[in-house]
Amino acid sequence: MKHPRWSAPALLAALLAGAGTAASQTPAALAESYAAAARNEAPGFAGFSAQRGEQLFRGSHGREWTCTSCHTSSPGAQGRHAKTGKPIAPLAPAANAERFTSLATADKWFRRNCNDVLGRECTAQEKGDVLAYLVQVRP
Amino acid sequence: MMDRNGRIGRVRTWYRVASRAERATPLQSNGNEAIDAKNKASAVDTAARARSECAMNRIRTFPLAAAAAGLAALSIAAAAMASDRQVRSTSPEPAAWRAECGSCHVAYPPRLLPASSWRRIMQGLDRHFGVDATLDAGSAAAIATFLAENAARVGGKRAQDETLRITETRWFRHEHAEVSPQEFARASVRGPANCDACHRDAGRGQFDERSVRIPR
Repeated sequence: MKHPRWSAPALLAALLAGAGTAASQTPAALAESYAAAARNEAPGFAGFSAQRGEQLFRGSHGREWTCTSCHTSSPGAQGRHAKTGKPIAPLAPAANAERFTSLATADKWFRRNCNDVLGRECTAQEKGDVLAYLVQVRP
Repeated sequence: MMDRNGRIGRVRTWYRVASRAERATPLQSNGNEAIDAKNKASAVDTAARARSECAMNRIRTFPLAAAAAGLAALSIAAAAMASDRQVRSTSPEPAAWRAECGSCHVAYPPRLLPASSWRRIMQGLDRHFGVDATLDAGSAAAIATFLAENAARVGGKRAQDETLRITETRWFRHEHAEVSPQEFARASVRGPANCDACHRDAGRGQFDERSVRIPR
């Protein structure tokens, strides 16, 4: 296997990228990122709402799956994959300290699962609403 | 191995070794020289004929033995080809492979599909059997390389026709021919794609038949 030739700019870029993907962030830090993105998307951004997030999480969006199909209606409890049955660790940060500690990971799963549930990507507003709902779920 | 009649027991032979009794009995004198000479000559003749028959039998059985050896060699080769799906991964698995490909289902070992099938799967991750399984570019590249390097070696047209579903490959159906549809449909099994329902070590790439337990 060829070893990459490291140069200073490449190393710096990798460090910065790594800082962004390191699983050392917090749900609050992620919420701030989503707020900043939401302000870019729509100037009339008025904050996140846990109630809106809960409606989005539990509601049906015209497709086969909802968020609760895998994460169950109690996101503080263990879930299971709707098709394979594979166990899914609890989603609420209060029940699982690893949740929402990496922006890259959270965005990856939002991208995949919103495409499955909504048929499109979630907006930053929607992501922030769902996060606001999940952080106040008690196991 | 040799019984009373001089026949060798387990090992089948097509010639008969003279029994101990026969060998022990000397030629009886008949009292008549001419007849004695004739008997002796015919005894020698018989012995010589037996020896040559023995040799003839060996020559006759040689093609059979050669054919048997050839068949054995062929079947070993066939088993080796069939078991190329049993060969372990030659390159170390990237962390992304197990983390991403094992997040929703068991991480199916690359050797279960040919490289062409893996390529098609990786190119269609946005509609991966009905769901979105897209990856970032770096992970996708690392995983694609790992899959291609450790894929099943199936040649020619068969590789192109190969289904994307491991459970629909000829190899899988042959291996699981003795499992009934009812067993696959059990709630505890949830279908043939759910390897680790019965293969408890599927997550470690081990599908040894002796450790299979089909749950009730």
